[in-house]
This record gives sequence, structure tokens and C-alpha cells, in this order.
Amino acid sequence: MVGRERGGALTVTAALPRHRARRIPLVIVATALSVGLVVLTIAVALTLGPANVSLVNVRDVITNHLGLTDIPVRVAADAIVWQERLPRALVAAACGAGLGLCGVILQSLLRNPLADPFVLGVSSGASTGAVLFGVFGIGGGVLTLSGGAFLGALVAFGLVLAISRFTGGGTASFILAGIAATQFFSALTSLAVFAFADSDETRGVMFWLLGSLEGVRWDDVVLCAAVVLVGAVVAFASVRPLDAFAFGDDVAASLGIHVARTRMLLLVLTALIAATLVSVAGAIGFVGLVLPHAARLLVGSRHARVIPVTIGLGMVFMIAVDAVSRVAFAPTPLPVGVGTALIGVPVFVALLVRRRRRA
Amino acid sequence: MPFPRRFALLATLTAAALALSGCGASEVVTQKAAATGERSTAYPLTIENCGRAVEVDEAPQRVVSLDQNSTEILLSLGLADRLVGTASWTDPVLPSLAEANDEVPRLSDNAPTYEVVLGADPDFVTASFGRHFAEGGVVTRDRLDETGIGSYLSPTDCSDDRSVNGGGTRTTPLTVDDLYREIRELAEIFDVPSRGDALIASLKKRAAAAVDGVDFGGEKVVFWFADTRTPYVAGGMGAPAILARDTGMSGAFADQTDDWPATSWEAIVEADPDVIVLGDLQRDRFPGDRLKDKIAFLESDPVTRSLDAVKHKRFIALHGAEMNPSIRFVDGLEKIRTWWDENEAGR
Amino acid sequence: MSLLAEHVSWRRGGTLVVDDVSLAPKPGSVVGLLGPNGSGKSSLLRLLQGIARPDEGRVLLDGSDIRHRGRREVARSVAAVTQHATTDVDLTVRDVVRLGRTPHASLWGADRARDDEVVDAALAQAGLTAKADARWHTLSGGEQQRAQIARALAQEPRELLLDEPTNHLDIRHQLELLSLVRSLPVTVVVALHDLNLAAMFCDEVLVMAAGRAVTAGPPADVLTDGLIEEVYGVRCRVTVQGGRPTIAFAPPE
Repeated sequence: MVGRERGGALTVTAALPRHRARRIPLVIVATALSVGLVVLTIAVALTLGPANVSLVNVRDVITNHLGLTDIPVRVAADAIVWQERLPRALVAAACGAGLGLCGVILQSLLRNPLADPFVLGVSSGASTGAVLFGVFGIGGGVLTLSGGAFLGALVAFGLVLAISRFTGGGTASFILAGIAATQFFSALTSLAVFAFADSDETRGVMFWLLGSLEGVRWDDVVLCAAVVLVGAVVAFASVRPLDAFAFGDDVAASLGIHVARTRMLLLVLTALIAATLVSVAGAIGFVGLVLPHAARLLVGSRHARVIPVTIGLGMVFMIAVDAVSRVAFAPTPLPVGVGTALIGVPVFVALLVRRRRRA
Repeated sequence: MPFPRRFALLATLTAAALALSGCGASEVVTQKAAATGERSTAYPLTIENCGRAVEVDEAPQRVVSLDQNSTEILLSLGLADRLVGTASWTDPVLPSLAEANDEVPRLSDNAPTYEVVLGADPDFVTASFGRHFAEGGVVTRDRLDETGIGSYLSPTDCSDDRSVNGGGTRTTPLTVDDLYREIRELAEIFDVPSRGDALIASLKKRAAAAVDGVDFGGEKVVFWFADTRTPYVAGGMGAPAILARDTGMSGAFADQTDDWPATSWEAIVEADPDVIVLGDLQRDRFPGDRLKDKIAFLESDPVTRSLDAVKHKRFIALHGAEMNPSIRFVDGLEKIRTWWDENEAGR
Repeated sequence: MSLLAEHVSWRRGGTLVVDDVSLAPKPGSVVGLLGPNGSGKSSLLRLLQGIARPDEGRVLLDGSDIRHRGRREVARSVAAVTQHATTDVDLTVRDVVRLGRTPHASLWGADRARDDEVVDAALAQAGLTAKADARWHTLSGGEQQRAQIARALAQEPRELLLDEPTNHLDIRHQLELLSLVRSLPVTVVVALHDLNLAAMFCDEVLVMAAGRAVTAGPPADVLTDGLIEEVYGVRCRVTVQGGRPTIAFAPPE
């Protein structure tokens, strides 16, 4: 039975004999439900796509790879489900969770509800790095497209840090430095693309700039999952400092937070997560900005709740958008960054309307 | 809490629906039919293809062609029954191949996705342009290898073992021999070498007839592929350079090593070409793709209408494929010949 | 045992905002910081809090330099309420007060029951129990101030630093707040504008002008009409009743 104890925390009491009643915290129930939801979403997503793969095929492929069966499956069906759709779904989930997480952290750190992972200059830096590789072939065989993007992202972030340090170091100067870097690197990207690329290269790079999960492999899955996992652990450990930033640096300091150290740690963490995800999947917009707000609309502003809900929402949302991107305009793929906004905005507006009605 | 409860209900229903539809007998995997070729190719066959060793164990039965040029070669080799998917169409198919092409599923008008390609269940994939095999393209050749699918890239796109379209640059000019090599190699792979020889012979014959007596005497030509704002013109090492060379024209941007570098109208005006070859593209993707749009632009734009070639309407219209390294270069030569007969023959 | 400042000086942007000030409040007493705007009261409070570093001199907590103590450790002993604490985050009053428990949480979690007890007590002391679940943005300025006080109380500090806490409050709440603060077993250093309030509730006052400590001592001794005119530039008449002065101001001529 569900009850409300003193202090407002919800508890779920197991139906056990009273003298042995234990409280199963809502946290565990919610986590179980979330995991179930994500698995369900992936299962549905695996069945969607332009190629003809039936649900039976999906079942067989999965059980084969789990070592439970050894059923002969069409090579193409196996490759599509196990080598393409499943890694895509998992990377999509990682991107949703990771970018949402970055959004939560940045919005709290910078005390700005419009902050998103790309305010660090990371996405435009990554785009420049990717384009320099794609157009000029810089790095040749040593650096991959993703490697160039990752380097570009870090360079941009480093520049933002340097500029903000020279201009005062507060949150306002940081945001302005981010804007400056974003504009600069975007211009570099445009320059490279329009001045030096031929039409084929332009088209190829443009697609990447909007976010794309085409060509995602299992090693991308491992990389993204690892990065997001680390990010989530650090974020959970930083729940109290993040709450403490609500009233600004001084109040946070008076509550015992090492403001400069915590801020730098979280900014660097966010930059690394965003740089990794962008280098794998391109600049997927909307997620980092809006998901934290959606989570807050659902569960309030305490980070202990916002962070897990953002992660859960992010995963489910991105898996769904990725699946729809495959199908919406088949055989032409929809860039995932376009899908996130096209699908996400109406959902978000619906949420806002609901909240208005309730309040 | 009504919201979570409704949600849980929906989730449970979905899970149930999934579980139910997932029940059923597994799909039966049929064995591929035995190859029926001329039995003259010796398998396993290894072909050096742009820095990769392509190993073919038997003649492919289900090929996906990612580009129109490759498709038209395969159709010309009579392999329509083995083509299971085509993509990247820049022009309408050659009329002589239209009937055969109707039998072949078109996967995409432009570049398809990896999943779409796999959905056709191919055992071999061909391409004319290396960007499809690059990162950010359709699928890399390594990845195809992993799934046991062989791949082939047109030698016309290859320079120093790197794909030109995929990011490399030409160090030597393209020649027709590269094209004939593509035909020969594909014919060998598919075990139809005699058809390959026949196709090459017919192309050579037509080409010779087309350029017989045609000599522009070094007149300057600009090949304009597309885009009215930043015009893409032919450089000196690609297929248009072959057309120019064979007909005695001199390309205005022959010093450029890119196949289709972007330039400006100023540069074109400065070059003051005697003849302008206009790309008549059907794709309608950029402003000025169509022939009439190109002509309209040239005649109305204040910068270009001063050009001598525009004033005297010295335009030769060629389809996109005719200016790219494909078997249609012969059609290109023939169209230049026709223009020559109509306009220059008397001089 | 407690917080004190030893000859601290602090420069900001080239100006000396605190000039050789020493302050050693007796444990459990209420010390008022008085002085006109720009006299350095807020700056001194920042130094005492440890969020700013003095250029000269030291701030000591329990005998050791506050600089060398962990921030969390300090926050468990010293709580501060500044003037303008604003936020865009949509918090309830209870959430805000619960922030005060931050320094008491370890990495592995907190004692939730204890936290709730302390938060409830702090809310009660600030008179906000009825508004515990109200959203921050719906509160009046005075209520927000009281919520911040409750947050500071939730830190269970030994020292309480307040920067003009009565600014947004009506007279009743001003008096209630200062009574509350005085009744707590904590040492309070409070910057005040209102001389009469200082006279009523402070055990000692430190009067500052231009960053320097002009004089210190019990209000009855320190707050004379001469001093007030010298420091504030206004004329007044001071009467002492029951050991505490009452200041009546005269309008300027």
C-alpha cells in the first residue's frame, strides 16, 4: 500500500505481516518500472524499419545471440536486427540519457533554464572537427570522422573555458563565451562546407550536423554507454550540490559546497559526455534543452528526482524517435535531430498544457 | 495517480501484443540457387579494386547497385535478373535499358540507408562513387565484408588506391580505359565475359564514329554541371576532360584537379568560353538543375548575358550521366557530334 | 570556541572595503553590525562566512584559521542569510529549508528521519509550517526571508550571520524574527539598518564607517547622539530606558 510519511516522502509498504512490514522505497519500484519501459520500447523499436524483418525474425535473432537457440535466420535479417537496429536503439538511449543529463546539470550550474549541452560550444566544435576531416581529409587514415569531431568538441570547450576565465569567470561570462565559441565554430564549419566542399561532401556533412544514427556499431554502444554510466554516477553523487546551486554561488558556498571545484568538475564532465555523444551521433538538438523541463514538470525540481526521470525519459524518447526516423520517410532517412524537435515539441507543449490545467 | 496507471495499462497491453505476435514458426531460410553463367570465370576470383582485394567465390546472384552508372553497366551486361535493387538516379534510364530496368526494384532515388540495402538481401554491392562506402555514407566495405557481402567500386573513381569521390584527389587524368576495365571486371565477376567484350567493342565503335571529323581546334569549353549560385564546373582530370580531349576542345578549368570544383560566375566570365556545355539534370534538387532553367539564368543574369557564348547561344546540352564516367560518355560524344554537325561543320 | 575575526582587511577592485577590523562575539550573544551603506558590513560578513578571503588578518573558527577547514565542516557550524537570494527553480518552501541539511549529508546518503525533524522544527520556528508546501515564487518578500532563515536554522549552526534580515518584513515580523534569533542558543552577528532594533535586541554592537571599526560595545554605551551624528550624519536624541537606548531622529533642517 502506498502511504505518505512525515516529510512528504512516498513509500510503498509491502503487504507483509505487520510485525515484519518493510518499506520498499518508491525509488526501487520506479527503477524497475523504468527499466521495463525501456526494454519494451527497444523491443517495439526493433520491429520498425524499412527493411522487411518480421517480429518472428527479431525473436529468433535475439535468442540466437543470447545463446538460447540456434535457428537459421536470413543473413540480412540477422545483420539488420543485431548489427543495425539494436546498436542504434542502444546508442539512441545513451544519447537521450546523456544529453538530458547534461541539460539538467548545465541548467542548474548556470542557473539558466535555456542552457543545453551545446551552450558549451561542444556541438559546433564537433561539427567543425568532423567537417575538417570530411572536407580536407585532415588526419587522413589515422583520425576517423568521430575522432575529428571529438577533438573539435574539446578544443571548443577549452576555448570557452579560456574566454570565460579572461572575462570574469562567472556564469554570465561563461554563457557568453559559449555563445561566442558556438558562433565562431559554426562559421568555420559553414566556411569549410560552402567554400571548399563539393556538393556530395556538403550533403554528407550536413546530414551529420543534424544528428544521425546511421552506421552506429557495437563499439559505439560500449563507448556511449560507458560515458553515460559514469556521468550518471557522478550526477547522482552531486545531487545535493546541484540542489544547493539554486540560490547562487554564495548560498551554495555557505552550505558547504566547493563552488569553483564542483562547477569545474561538472562542466568538464558535461563537456566530455556531450563531446562523446556528439562525435558518435552528431548534434542532436532539443533533447538536452527540453527533457529536463519535462522531467521537472512531472516530478518537481529536486535533483534526486529530476536526474533519474530525465534519464528515463531521455532513453525512451530517443529510442522512439530513432525508430520513427527510420520509418517516416523511408527509404530516405530522417536526420534524428530533426525528428527530436518535430516529435518532441508537440509532446512538450501537451505537457505544458496539462500542467496549466492542473495548476 | 491516474496518469501512471493509464500508462502502465498501455504498456502492459503493448507488451502483450508484442508477445502474441512474436509467437510463430521461424522463417525458413532457403538455399541460394546455383549460379548459371558462361562457366568461363575461374572461381574463387580475386580482383584488385581500389586498394582492396575483392574475393568472389561464385558469381553473385543478388546484386544491389548504389549508382546509376553501375546499374546501367549491369543492365547492359544483361544481368537484370540478378539485380535486386538500384539507387542514386540522376537521370532517366537509358531508353534501351528501360524495359529491363522496370523489373528491378528501385530502393531509393538518392542514397539509401544501410538497412534498406540489407533489406534487399544482397550478396554483392556495386557503386560508381566512393562516398557511399565512406564513413557517413551508406555502408563501409569492411562492414559489408563482415556480413559476407562483397563490394565493388568503379575504377573510374579510383586514384592511387583511394576513392576520388570519397575524399581523394586524382593524380592522373581519367581515361576511357578505366571505364572499359570496369565493364571487363564486372563481366568477369558475374561470369559473363563475352557480353563484357561485346559491350566494350560496341562502345568503342560508337565513340570512334562520333568523333570522326570533329575537331574544335582548341576552342574553350566550360562544362557546367549544376547550381546557379555557386556553379560546379568540370576540372581537368575527370570524364568531361575525355569528352573535351576527344573532340579537340580545351577545358577552361583544366588546371583544377577536382572532378567538379565549385567556382564563381566571375571566373567563368573571365575564362570567356567559346562553348558552354549545360548539364540537363532531372533531379530538381538545386536551382538551375534543368536545362531550361540554366539557359534562362544565363540569358537573364547581368553578369553572364554579356558572355559571347551566351549571346550566340553556343550551348551543348548533356545529361548528368553523360558527363560522369559511365557508358553514356558515348552518348555525350554523339550529342557533341550532332551539335558540331549543326553548328560548326561548315566552318 | 567560536567565530572571530582578527585584524582583517579586504581589498576589492583597489578599494579597501574592510580595514583592520576585529570582532570576537561572546558565544550565545547577539552582535549587531551597524553603519551606513558602504561601510563594509556585508563585506565583513562575507569574510566571517569564509566565502571571501581577507588580504590581511585571519578569521578563526574554534581557534584555527577558517581557510584551512573543510567547507562542509564550516557550514555545519556557520550559517548565513544574505539579502537577495533569488532563484528561477520551482522549489517548495520545504525544499528550500531542506537545503540547509546539505552540509550534514555524507556521500552515502543522509539520515532522512533526522533531516525531516530538523526541517519541521526550523519551519515552526520561522512560523512557516502552514506554508511548508507552498511554492517559493508565491511567497511574499518577507516570507521568503523567513524561509531563508529557516534554511539557515536547518543547518543547526553555532554561528548565525544575517545581512539585514529585516529589510522586507513588517514591524511585527521584524520584532518576531529578532526575538527568535535572540532566543536561540547560537551566536548571532547581524547587520542592521534600524538603530532602534539594534538597541532592542543586540547585546553588543560594532559600528563601522568606510570599512573601519569606529567603536564597539553594548548599545547603551555606544549609541550616543554624538556618535550617530558622526557616523550617520543625522541628528537625534537618545534616551536610555531599562538599560537600552531609544533613538529619536530629527529631520534635516
